[in-house]
Amino acid sequence: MKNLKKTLALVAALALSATALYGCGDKTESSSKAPATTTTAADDSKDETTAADDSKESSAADVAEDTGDQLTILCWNTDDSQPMVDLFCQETGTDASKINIKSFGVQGGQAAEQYTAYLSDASNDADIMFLEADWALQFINDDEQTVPLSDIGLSEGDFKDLYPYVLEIGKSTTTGDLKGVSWQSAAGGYCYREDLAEKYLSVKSPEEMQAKVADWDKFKATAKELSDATSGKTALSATLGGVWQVYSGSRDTAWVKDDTLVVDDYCKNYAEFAKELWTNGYVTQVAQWADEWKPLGQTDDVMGFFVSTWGFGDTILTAAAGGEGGATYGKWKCVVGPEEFYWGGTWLAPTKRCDNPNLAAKFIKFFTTDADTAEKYALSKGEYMSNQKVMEKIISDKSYKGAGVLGGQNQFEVLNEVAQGIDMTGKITPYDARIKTEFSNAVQDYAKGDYATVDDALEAFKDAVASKITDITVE
Amino acid sequence: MRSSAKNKIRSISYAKYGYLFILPFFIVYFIFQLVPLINTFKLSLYGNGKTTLEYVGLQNFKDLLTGVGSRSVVAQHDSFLRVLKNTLILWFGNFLPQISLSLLLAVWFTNIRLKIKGKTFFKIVMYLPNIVTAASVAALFLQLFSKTKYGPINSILMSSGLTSGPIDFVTDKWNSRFTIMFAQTWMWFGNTMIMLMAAIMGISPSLFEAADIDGATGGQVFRKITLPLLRPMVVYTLVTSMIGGLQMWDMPYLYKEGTNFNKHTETIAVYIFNHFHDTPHNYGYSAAASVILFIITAALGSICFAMNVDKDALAKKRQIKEAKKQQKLKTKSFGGF
Repeated sequence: MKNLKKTLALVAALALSATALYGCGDKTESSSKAPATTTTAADDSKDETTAADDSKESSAADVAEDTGDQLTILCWNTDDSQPMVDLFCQETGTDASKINIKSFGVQGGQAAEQYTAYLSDASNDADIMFLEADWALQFINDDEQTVPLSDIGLSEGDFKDLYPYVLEIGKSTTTGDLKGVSWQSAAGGYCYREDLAEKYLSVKSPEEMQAKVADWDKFKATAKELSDATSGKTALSATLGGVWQVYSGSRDTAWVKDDTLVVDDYCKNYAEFAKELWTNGYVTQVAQWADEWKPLGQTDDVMGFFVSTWGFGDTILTAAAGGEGGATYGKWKCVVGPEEFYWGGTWLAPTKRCDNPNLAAKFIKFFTTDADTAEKYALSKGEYMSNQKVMEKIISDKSYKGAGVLGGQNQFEVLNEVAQGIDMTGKITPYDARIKTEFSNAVQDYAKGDYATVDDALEAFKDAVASKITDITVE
Repeated sequence: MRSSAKNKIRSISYAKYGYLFILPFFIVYFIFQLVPLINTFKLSLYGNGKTTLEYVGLQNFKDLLTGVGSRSVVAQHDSFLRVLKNTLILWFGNFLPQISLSLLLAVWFTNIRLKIKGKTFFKIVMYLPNIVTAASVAALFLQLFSKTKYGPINSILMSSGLTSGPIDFVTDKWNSRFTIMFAQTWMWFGNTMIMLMAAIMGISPSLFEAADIDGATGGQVFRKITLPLLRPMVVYTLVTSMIGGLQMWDMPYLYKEGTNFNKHTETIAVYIFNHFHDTPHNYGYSAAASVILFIITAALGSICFAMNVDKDALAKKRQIKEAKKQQKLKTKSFGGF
């Protein structure tokens, strides 16, 4: 009995201290791993030199030798990085132990914090960072954290096959250097219910549909036509948030100029446009990502969703159709819509502390400029790549049949058209994601009737921005 | 000569084992509570966004509390007042119904004369919501109170002809607040009820019997016996609920439409969280708001405890002191003789 008590107490104490030390687990693990990798690195020294030779051939710039043991990739989860590393190792013969995926296991939105904490310790290794579109500039504009791609021997000319907007987002807005590049493109289009379109708008093909939503005036007119035909039952687009996702791409100036928020007629126009859509029922009153959002796709309340490359699967459209074999599965079609837009995406950027510049360059090229390997990855993962040549080849080869939810249409054909049309030159600021969210919220409140006039809504928007972003001036 | 065995027994000290066993707690507390706490105080004296590393003194507190300065400062002050107001509204709105409901139920369940059948069943059922995590409760309420016509509550209301269109329970100013208050009350009244019942059952039954014999009515028993003797527990509930209410985070954070925050139900805790995590990070303001919240909680908590001090005991103490003084004086005067 006495012994039992003692054992129990000991176990309890151990369990408590184990939880206390849990946080430190990661570190001990990596330090104990270090000697092991040194030995493998020594074994693979032959590989390393060949890798270095390869990249030297292609780049004229003087790039430092690889001195690090491992190529460390910072990312928030392994959804993308693991398949990428697997394919990279398999195709190039790189030993898997030479690449260390440092995943923080968080959502993309929280990764910036984790990176900052991790990088604040100068002894922590990092060679390539995954950056999410929303906050990529936080690191890209920071010359203490990232270096231009030219420092690892990649010039802008190397990326001429990529969609131009992908490069535009990877450029520092302070120096103009190209510091990050994405292997994927997140161009999006307008997806609509083919059966409803035929029934109410007598539209028979995607081309006819595109003609009806080619710009915002036509979009509104079609919404009215649809609403009249269904006596107000069916909305042309699911959410106002979705419309904003697309409309925000049409802004022709940057949101912040000389550290001052720019609020112009564009804002007023959109607010009025949004209110019209909302009050007339041209959009439903549900918000994006609300629980009710996706199920709308199985009702006749909604005819369309704005969806980007990653949204055709279970993330949005397939789920909206009720999954494979769902109520509206296969009844959707995709068109360019009123505006070319992109929605999200992940960029790769070399860090300043990168000690494997040649391997890092090889890794980046593997998924962007190397057409063969990029195509392999696109087909194995079902990814829409940023390399236009690759995507056009996949389209013309007909090696990809299109998402099942579209019932035989290949969305890549539409998305290729969209991705070429996106123009982000001079419109990017580090604060865009925050500002766009605040603006969208203010407009939604205005549409709902919380503010009497547009000006009230814009004042509320300015206040929200002023309180969230203290680095810029709001007049 | 002492035997060695006796000597040995004397030198055994069990205290060190005690310290050893509580050591893990203190280590955990130090790493995960005390260090962040001190760091919060430090952060509140530093800047926001690009100036996170600059020491700014009490500027953040000044901005939040006075709002004198640029538009950014005014907006900061306004939104801070707004979330403070929201927090108080949400707390009052869930504390008042919660304490009255639990008090009523506790009195009923402990009353010997009322023979309620299935007491244990009711107690368990009423306590159950407290076991469910707030995240699930928020998801549940979002589904139930969905603002579209497909939401269960709305479809019941509409099919019974009470409303013509769906009611917006999620984003509307007062509807959303009431839904959150209701959810909070629903989650916590069982817990409060159990605690009050424990306190009532701790009151000596002889008092109730005596009142019974004297012919006191139910109301009189409640007002003159139950309530006064229940005060420590009511104050305890008040303090814990207040601390919990001022830091209310989960329901207001999760009960929102999609990813849009509802500014009518944004509490201080949500404000702190968002200002801390959203890019660009406003570490200074969120830390300053945390410190202000800490001060408010500490102040209100102290007031509650001060209210709870037994006045009779205080008076008795004073009497004894007075008596001693008198005694002393008396003896002194005796000595003077």
